Amino acid sequence: MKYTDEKLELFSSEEGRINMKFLGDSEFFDVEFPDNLFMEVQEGDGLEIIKGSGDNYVELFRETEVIHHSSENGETRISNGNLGTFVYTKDNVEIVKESLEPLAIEGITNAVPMKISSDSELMDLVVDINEFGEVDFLKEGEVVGHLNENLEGKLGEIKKDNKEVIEEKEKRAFEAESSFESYKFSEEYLVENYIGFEDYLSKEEYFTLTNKYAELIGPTEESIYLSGFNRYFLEELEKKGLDYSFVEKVLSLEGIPSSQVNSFLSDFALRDLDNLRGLGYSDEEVLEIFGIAFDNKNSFSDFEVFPKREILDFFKNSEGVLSAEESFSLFKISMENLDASENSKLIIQKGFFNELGELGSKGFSKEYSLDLFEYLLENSNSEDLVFSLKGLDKLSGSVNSLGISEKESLEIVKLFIEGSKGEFSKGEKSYDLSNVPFTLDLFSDHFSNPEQVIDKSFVFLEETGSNFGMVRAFISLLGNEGYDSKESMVFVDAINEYMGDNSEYTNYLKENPEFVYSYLHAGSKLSFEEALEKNPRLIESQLKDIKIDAFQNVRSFLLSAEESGLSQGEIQNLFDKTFEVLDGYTPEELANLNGLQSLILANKISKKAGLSKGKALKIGNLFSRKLNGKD
Amino acid sequence: MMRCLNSDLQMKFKKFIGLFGMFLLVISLFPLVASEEVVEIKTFGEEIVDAYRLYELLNQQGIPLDSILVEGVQFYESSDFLDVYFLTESLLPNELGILSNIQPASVSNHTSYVKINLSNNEITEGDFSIYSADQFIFGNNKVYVPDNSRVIFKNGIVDLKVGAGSNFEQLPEILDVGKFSSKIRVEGEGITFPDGIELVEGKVDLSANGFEVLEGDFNYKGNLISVGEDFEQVLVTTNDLEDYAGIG
Repeated sequence: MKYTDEKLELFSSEEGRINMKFLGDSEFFDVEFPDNLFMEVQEGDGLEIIKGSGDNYVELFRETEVIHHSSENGETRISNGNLGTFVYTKDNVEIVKESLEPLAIEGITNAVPMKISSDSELMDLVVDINEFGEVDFLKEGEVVGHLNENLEGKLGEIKKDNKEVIEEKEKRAFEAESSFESYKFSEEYLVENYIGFEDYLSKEEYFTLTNKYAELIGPTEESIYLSGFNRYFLEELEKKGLDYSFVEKVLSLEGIPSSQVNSFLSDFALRDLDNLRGLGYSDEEVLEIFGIAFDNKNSFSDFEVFPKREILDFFKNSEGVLSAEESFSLFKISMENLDASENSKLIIQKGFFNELGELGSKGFSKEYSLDLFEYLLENSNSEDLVFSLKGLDKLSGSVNSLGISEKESLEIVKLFIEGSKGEFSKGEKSYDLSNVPFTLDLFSDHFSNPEQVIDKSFVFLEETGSNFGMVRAFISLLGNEGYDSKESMVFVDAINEYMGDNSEYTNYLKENPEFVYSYLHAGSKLSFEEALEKNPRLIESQLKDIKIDAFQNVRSFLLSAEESGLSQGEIQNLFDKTFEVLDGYTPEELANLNGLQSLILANKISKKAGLSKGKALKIGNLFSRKLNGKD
Repeated sequence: MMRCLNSDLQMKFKKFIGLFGMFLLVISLFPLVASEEVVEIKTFGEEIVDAYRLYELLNQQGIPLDSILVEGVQFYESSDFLDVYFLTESLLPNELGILSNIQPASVSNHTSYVKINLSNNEITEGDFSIYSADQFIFGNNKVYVPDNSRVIFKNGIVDLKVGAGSNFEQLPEILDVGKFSSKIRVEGEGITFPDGIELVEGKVDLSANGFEVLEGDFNYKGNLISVGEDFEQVLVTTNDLEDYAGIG
């Protein structure tokens, strides 16, 4: 369809059809409710619609000219309101009265004015429809016939039904349906699409593979177009020394999910094939691996997870740790033991296979690696296992510098798994799982006294070396039930001291201001000064690195409150109200407070906190002095 | 779980810090905007690779980064491709800030990734959703993408699945008319384009030739095209095309 300011062209291909309805804002026709103008051009026919050239609105539309461009087999249908449908072929025009007019209102003509002519050599009849639905038939400019809005009058045999068209449509629909059910493309279609494949496949091979492909995903033109089975794929296969038979085997693998065929072909089979070969697998074994994967696809609610990445990680990570035979064996064990739970995919996603390399690099023998994974698979098959394995990701980092025996490490892993079963099955969604591998399980669950936990924690920290992941886990203990603020403070101080200048830790503090706030909050039960004194590095690093003047202002304000001799309850309340009031200020406003504004703000907060005027004034004065650098 | 931290205050504190962060960002960007006169046009693939390289470089040299958290985004680099998977929400370092408008899989509920060919730094395939409207350069195309749209890039087609009622403020542009450009596929309902063009419901391809209506109803300036079958697909063009079957 071509659209310009002057005209609109609708040209169909030999097998195509264009359906167009003209709406009220069309620039070509005067369509107003309840008018209904619909045109259908098919199988080679075309329509040319030329805007009128009248001086006013009525004339402009009255003069709209429609030219039918005929073709050998084509047909054009112009349905004009309740007047009827003008059916054009290369040698005829018929007016068909069809019950297709849903908007027909008795007594109202909803025809749209237009002049229709045809370029067919066999027709020189011009149809001229006016706004009242009356039709004139013109030859060489002269009226040779006329029909009223009910198509009564001279000329034209009016058919009530167009059986040929209906039969043709039914036939076409039947063919389409049959084609779909057989999951095969027509030979004609395949020949057309074979172009470009001839360098790689014989025509027969192309037909076979394409229809196999169609069996998997259904035969649509789009499926071919978007197919992973394309020339690029074949070119790549050729580079790898593979041919048609390999593709046929791949497409013949049972269980390959239709939604994953394309990604499998384009990503996995091509890229991962090399990697698996590099690990010593023959092409036959590679196919076997793929087959096992597909056989077990029910283990993965999102099958995509598996072929995309994880199988590759698994085999890559096993390199140098296990022989190809052993890793293959392990893979089989894994697949056999995974159940169909939704969480199985998480096992794959979250470090299950990755652990193998990690463990191996730490001196775990292959026997232990196998034992461990068999143990995991045998003893956990639900959410517990999923979360356990998430935790295991962190554990392995710690094990790296444990310096304890392999046997002991394994025992720890087992302990961890056992502990995690109880803890994580509670369905807590608020856990930051990456932070809590050992703390809640290994210590909290096994030592009831917080002091014991802290003692054991530091023993463990000493043994493991400076491991930030562990520290983050310990920090999570701050929010754990059973620790009062003083204990948390002691704990954080100790961690802080232990970490020294560890930049990773400092960065963590920068990125987690709520942790600092948590610290302050706990600190407020001691005293603010005391809290600062106990941990200046923590506070300073936070404030210094964030470099927000307004934060300094807030800090000054709260320090002022501390110094003014408020009770702990008042400080707590003030602390809460401070943040409520700050909500009403923009960052710019807070960062640029002058002395007077600071006093106003301080008073506002104090008032909201219910402090007496005297206390509010005292805080305000102290605050103002701090802001002015006098204190 | 009981926490010592008062969650309400924690939320407020975060909001407070967030506001300051935005303020500082605006302030820090201003001189750049004011002083830059020549803007280098980079494709989205090039932007990602450049950002990744910078981040990598800074890491290797031990230069402190603005943020160290890249949890949630995973980079896989092979000799030929850089694959970037967006897994969970995360606080990205400034160097990788161009990725911040991409919804991770945990938000979009679909695999979220881009695959970049490192020989030309072009995205060869990808599937991601964005939070807010943005313009992207994919190869030779500059594409406006509305809020909360999903972008699927495969086999040279950029497929945009956009929310009902979305508005394309601009049509895609071809940067160099002499070069290959991708098809932009738009799927959705009630999708409006400039000049009174509307995808009422269905799927259209946008290319240098115009709109190719693949399925559904498409209103081109008051002329409603309906495509129910493949053989009814229509190319709507305003150009003179070489193989055009009509009369030109």
